Amino acid sequence: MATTALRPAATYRTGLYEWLTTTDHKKIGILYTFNSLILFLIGGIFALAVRTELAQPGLQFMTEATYNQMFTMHASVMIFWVVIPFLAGFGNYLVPLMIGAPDMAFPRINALSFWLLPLSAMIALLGFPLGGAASAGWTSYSPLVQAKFSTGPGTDLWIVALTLVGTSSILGAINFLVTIFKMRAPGMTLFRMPVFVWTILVTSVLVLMGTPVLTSALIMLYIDRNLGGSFFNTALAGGNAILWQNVFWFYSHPAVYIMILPAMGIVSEVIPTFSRKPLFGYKAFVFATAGIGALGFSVWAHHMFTTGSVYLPFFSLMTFLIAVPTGVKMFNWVATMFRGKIRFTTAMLYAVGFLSLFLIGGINGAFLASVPVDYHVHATYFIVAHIHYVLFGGSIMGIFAGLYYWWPKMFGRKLNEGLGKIHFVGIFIGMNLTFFPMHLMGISGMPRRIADYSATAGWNDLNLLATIGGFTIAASMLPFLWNVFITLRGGEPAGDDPWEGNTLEWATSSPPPPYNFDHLPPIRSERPVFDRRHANDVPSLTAGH
Amino acid sequence: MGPIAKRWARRAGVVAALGALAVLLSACSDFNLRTAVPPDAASVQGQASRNIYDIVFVIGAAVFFLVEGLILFAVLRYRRRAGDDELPPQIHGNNRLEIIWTAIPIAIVLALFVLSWQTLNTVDARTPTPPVRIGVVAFQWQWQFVYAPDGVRWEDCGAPANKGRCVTVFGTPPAGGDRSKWTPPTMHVPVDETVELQMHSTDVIHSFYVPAFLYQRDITPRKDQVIQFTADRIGIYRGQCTQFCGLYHQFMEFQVQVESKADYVAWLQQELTPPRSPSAAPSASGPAGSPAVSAAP
Repeated sequence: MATTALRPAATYRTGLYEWLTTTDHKKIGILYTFNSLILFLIGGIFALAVRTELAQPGLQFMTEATYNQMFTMHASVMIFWVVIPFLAGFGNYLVPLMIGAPDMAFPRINALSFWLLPLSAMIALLGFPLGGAASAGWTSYSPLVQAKFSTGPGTDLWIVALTLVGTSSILGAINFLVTIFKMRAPGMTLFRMPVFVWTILVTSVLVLMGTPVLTSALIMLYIDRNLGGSFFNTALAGGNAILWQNVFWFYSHPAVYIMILPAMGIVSEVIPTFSRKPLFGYKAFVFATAGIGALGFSVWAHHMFTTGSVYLPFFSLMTFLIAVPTGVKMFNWVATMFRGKIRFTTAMLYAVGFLSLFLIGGINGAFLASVPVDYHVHATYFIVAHIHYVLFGGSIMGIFAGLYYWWPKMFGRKLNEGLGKIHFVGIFIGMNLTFFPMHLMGISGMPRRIADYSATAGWNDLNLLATIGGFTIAASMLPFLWNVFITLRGGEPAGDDPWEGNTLEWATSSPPPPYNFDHLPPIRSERPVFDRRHANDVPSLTAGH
Repeated sequence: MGPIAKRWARRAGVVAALGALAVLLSACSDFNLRTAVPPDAASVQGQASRNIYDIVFVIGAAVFFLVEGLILFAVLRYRRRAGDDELPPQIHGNNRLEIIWTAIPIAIVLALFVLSWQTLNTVDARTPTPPVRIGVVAFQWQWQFVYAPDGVRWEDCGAPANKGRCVTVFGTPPAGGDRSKWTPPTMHVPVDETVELQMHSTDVIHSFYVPAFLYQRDITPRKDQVIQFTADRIGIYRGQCTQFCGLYHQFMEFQVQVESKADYVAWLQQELTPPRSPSAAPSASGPAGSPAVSAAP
């Protein structure tokens, strides 16, 4: 049942000018999505370059200089222009819909937040034609990143680009917070908000506290490199290389939560819908999210255990503790599926994929909390395995779950389920083939960020396996892209509520009209659309908490 | 085929695919189960780290199988059958259950933390009088190991007055400038004695890592590091810089040769006696591009 009389489809066929100037949060959300998808492909090509070079010992395809640019730009693109903005894009599209608001609080600032992203991505990538992109690693440790050791414009372009991304994130976070606090529909109390909105709220607080720190550090770094500053430059008196690591990780560890919390939010919408049950332990889940956010600022120095410059027991304890709220969430998701009636749509497959892979990313993270274990595996491929089980097994699986789940809402048409399942199986197998062997390489001592490795160290076959996995992931993207292409040209019409959803976005048309709603269903729980659908059912089935 | 037969056929297909994958994996030639665990520790501290690793691994594996098992069980058991439109019971939570699965993980991680902390105190223990002190200089993209056995500060070994009183180990310079042909320098250490490394970087951050010691430590400019270890197994162990340090990072390899006390003393004496072996110390100033020894601040 559509609650609007408008037929909005026509408004999505408008011209280029409309897309370039729009302040509609939904169109901006779609722009975020496609911008992130394009950069996902670019970052993926960088990853394939790395995997291709490492398939065999010896340098076959590129020089060290190119290789170092590839892994630096792979990580930078995937973190700053794919995972963070992809999830911010979902937030843009969904938060106003889910809280029953007509738009974001500051629509024009919202548009600015988006347009800074393609601009900054182009600036960062401009390094390639100008003689070499940034190549000091995405962590850009000083003094390696200083002008003496990292020559050429690539690093400066990278700094400027990241400063713009930081600005975009900060503006976006303020926008989300004001929207969530000031624009909820009548009846939408904080504890009736969908969990996804909660994760965006906590993420925005993290962004607001962390991103200004990184952005200021980047400006200091720029001064070091170009204006003779001595913030982090050990060649000058007063320069402190460890200071860079502290301020960098003060943002960049919470950034991991910025990249995983909204994905957890997506999964927390998908699993209840397809299990036909409410999320088990809604309040516990909200508190766990806030707990991760709070603890997230006290664990940054676990990236620095081997520097000899941090108080080890404190950061070890906090890092162990942050596993607890994450574990609580895992049990909540599993309990939501228990005694449910699970429908295996592609979105649900991705959500279950998230659970089973992110679990590994959580467990191998606990290894790193133990300082003596970290002494052994720090800066090896074990770390690469860990972060990819979190960011690929977690964030990317969550993002795809969200794409398949909300695509019908965004475009009024369902992505093809058959192609979607092929996509899922390919990416699930490829992901494990790529990243699981990296654990083994890591514990046997293979350092990360090396363009070449000894042929006699026992890493040849594991590397080849990882490369095969990388190309499996790449191949599995083809059915996805084809799926997007045919769906945009005319897929199966979705209707307003194709999945029997719980939250307000399913109470309007697909795609929703400008300003979203003509009227809203009554909001008496965190599942207003479920309540309306089952209003006449036996009361025992729909009783609240 | 009926729906049940179809389901079983699909399951058989999955099992066959997994079997094929296992065969493919086992056909790999240089992979073996030795790679699946950390190297056998060759130092006292490394053994301590290995012990805590094994504990974390066992608990991690138990959690993995428990939770992955619950996920699989839920996914297989609670599938929605075709035509089943009835709503399942709407369970919103269970406080007792949620308290249990919060408390148990807290207990586990606190236990792991305490055990890790105790191990850390073993690994990071320092003796004030280590029998062997070696200076380690890291630079783009090689290592220098400096032995000053008769009371000279290793940082002063470059001074003319100390000529012949120190041993400096370099990697052998590359043939024809090919860095991949660079023979990594070898650090000689006696077995069962505490060795102290005084580590200094002349340019960017490097990291001293020996997998067989299960240990690494960053060497940051202006932040010299002191570490100690006690190797307890004779052998030659691979080491490598793990902190990305620029263009030729992957060539920053070295070896640690753990030998008997007698062999170690003999080696040191041989190196101290002029003329020194050209392979160990090619010239007084070292190979082109390597810094002078007296590089400490």
